[in-house]
Amino acid sequence: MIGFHVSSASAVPAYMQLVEQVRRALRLGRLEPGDRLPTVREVAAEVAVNPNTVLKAYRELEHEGLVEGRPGQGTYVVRSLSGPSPQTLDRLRASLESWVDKARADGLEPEHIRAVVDSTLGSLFDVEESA
Amino acid sequence: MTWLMWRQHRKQLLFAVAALVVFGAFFVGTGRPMHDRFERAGLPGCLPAAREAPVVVDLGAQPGTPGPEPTLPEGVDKPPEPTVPGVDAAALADARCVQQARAFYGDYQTVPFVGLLLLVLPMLAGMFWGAPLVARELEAGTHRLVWTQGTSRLRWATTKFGLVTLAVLVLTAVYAAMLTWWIMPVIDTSGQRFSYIFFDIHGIVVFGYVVFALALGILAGAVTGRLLPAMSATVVGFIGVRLLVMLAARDHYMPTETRRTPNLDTSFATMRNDLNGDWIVATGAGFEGNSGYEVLTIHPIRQFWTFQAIETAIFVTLALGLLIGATYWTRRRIS
Amino acid sequence: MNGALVADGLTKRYRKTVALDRCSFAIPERSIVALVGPNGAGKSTLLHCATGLVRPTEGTLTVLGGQPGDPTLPRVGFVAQDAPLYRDFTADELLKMGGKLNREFDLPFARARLVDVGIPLDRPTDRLSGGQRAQVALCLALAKRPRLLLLDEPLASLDPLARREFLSALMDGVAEEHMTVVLSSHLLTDLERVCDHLMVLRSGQVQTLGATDELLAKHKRLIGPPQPRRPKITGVEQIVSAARAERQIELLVRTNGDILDPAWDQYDVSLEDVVLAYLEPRAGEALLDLEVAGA
Repeated sequence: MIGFHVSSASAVPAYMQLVEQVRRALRLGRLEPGDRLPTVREVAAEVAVNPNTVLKAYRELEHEGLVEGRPGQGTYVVRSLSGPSPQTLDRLRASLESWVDKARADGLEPEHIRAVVDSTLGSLFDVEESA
Repeated sequence: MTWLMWRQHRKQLLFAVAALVVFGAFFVGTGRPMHDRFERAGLPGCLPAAREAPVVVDLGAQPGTPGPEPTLPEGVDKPPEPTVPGVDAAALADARCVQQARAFYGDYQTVPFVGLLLLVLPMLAGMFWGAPLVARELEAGTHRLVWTQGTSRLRWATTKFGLVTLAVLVLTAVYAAMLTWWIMPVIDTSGQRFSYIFFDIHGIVVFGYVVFALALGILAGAVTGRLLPAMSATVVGFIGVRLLVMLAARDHYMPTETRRTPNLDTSFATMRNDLNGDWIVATGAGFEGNSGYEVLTIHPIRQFWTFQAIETAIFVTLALGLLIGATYWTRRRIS
Repeated sequence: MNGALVADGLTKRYRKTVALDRCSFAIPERSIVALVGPNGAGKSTLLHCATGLVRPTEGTLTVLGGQPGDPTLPRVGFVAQDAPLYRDFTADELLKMGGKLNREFDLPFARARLVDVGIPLDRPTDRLSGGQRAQVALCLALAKRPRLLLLDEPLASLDPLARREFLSALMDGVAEEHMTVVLSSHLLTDLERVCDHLMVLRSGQVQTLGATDELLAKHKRLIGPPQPRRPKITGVEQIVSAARAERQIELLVRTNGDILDPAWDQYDVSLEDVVLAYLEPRAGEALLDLEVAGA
């Protein structure tokens, strides 16, 4: 199951944080279609957050077509977020790790590495969008 | 609510019962020997008659008469009574009785001092059972818990005050019974049933004092909201009212009577019989021919129980008023 | 007005102070309200009026449509400041007391909740931690299945873990029921995550009351050039607070429309910004009434 958490310090509204956490779980394969999400009450109690906030998050997910509320039964995942298979993820992670090792050997600090990744991501995805 | 009252005050109740047991042990332990001595001196038998005589022969002043008879151990026969010329048998018996009574009373001089301490007991009831009733809830803030449940403050107050008063009355009844049994021989031989100590500690007045002190403590606690000021107020209020009633009011419950002692037969010395227990308010003297007499302004002993009833009624009425006041104050009180 | 808790000109005067000053508000049903204000603002007095512990001097207060006190207490749960409990009672005995004093009291439910939170039922409460005592007090209030739950500074003397556990338990208790909750605090940060409405109280007066989403949408920070007098800006309903720096003034405003004036930079605000703005004395506004000397 997924563990939820809400950070008061974040600029992102609480309900969006929960939505993001469900999306991330879907992407990483921790949630699959057919899984039942915890009840509003369980999440509200676990995270110490207003039940309406949880309701809002679930409604947003329903709006995005990711989950479906079945009366009397609960809220169920109905769609997975397109993403690579676990094997693909493992392969990609392995090659990423070896690149990071090389970067460290060349003397890059974590901030530098992150900056390189961010700018590469930025330019690559931007190019794709404008193309 | 009854369960709650019991649970909150069970320690106090047990403590009170334990105190009663201690008192009981004391009364029985010291009372048995005292009662034995009283009976062996023949006092229960001779006192009722001896009390009636307004004047008795002063045996101590007669030349050649023996002193007070020693109390004989059981089983030993009394020697035949010596006679005093000119005095008939009945008067002589009375005189001997008075002598025995004085001897008995002389041996138990400490009892009135114990009585002095016992005067304080009702006030202690008010301080330790009355004052904390409301004050402790307010000081601890638990009134914000118990007054916001589904039971009205009125019901809370009346149940609490009522149950505590009831419990205290029952305890007082046991205490009063024990005490009265214990002290009667001393009172009978003192002739001072109306006195400021004896009147106040035996009979039914103690009920009045206890409920009054209790009600005073409860009201003080409700008004001040703090335990120590409530206890101080109880002490001051109790002593003040008691003194006021005792010294200023008690004399006026019933009209006084005048009694003139008969002219004295100067052939032998006589003395006023103090054993009758009348409350002597004033004395006067006169002469007729060559004999003197006394004119006494008294509350006769037969007024005793009326006096007790009136004083009890005064304090019970005061207590009722204070309890109503305490209930009202508790209801209207801000948090 | 309709609502779980409705006040009209509610005033409470003591001999020398005014605890509540002509408060008028309506707290909507099923909302979870953060009642925020400094010490002495009147938060406790307000909650005590709602539970019948205090009688108002003037004005009215309607609780669930009825009179505060005996008529409505069966539907109102209350936890006073510092969660007062009978210290020598065990939790079990306190629940028993609740059952005896309340016509409707779900004892098995209450007991199960305490067991869930790990509170020993047979220990006298003065041997429980502050957090555990707060949980017991909350449980007593929830066992009545109230429609209105009032909590006076419930987190004030609790450590961070106990605070989180209390809020968890509270949210668990609220989620299934159709309950209105009012929590008072002088710290907003604790309450932000659980409340969907905010009421700011200062010096016995209601400064603002609204849904948190709306408050965040309606309040903005404006930064612009110094003004010779109080500016009138279209779209601004009220200037809540103001501060002046050398080259600019900063306003926190409540809007009633879009602000299109290009002279002002607009920024979103946090809930805490809103609370602070309403709690500051209006010295900031006074700044705006002064003519700028020699400008």
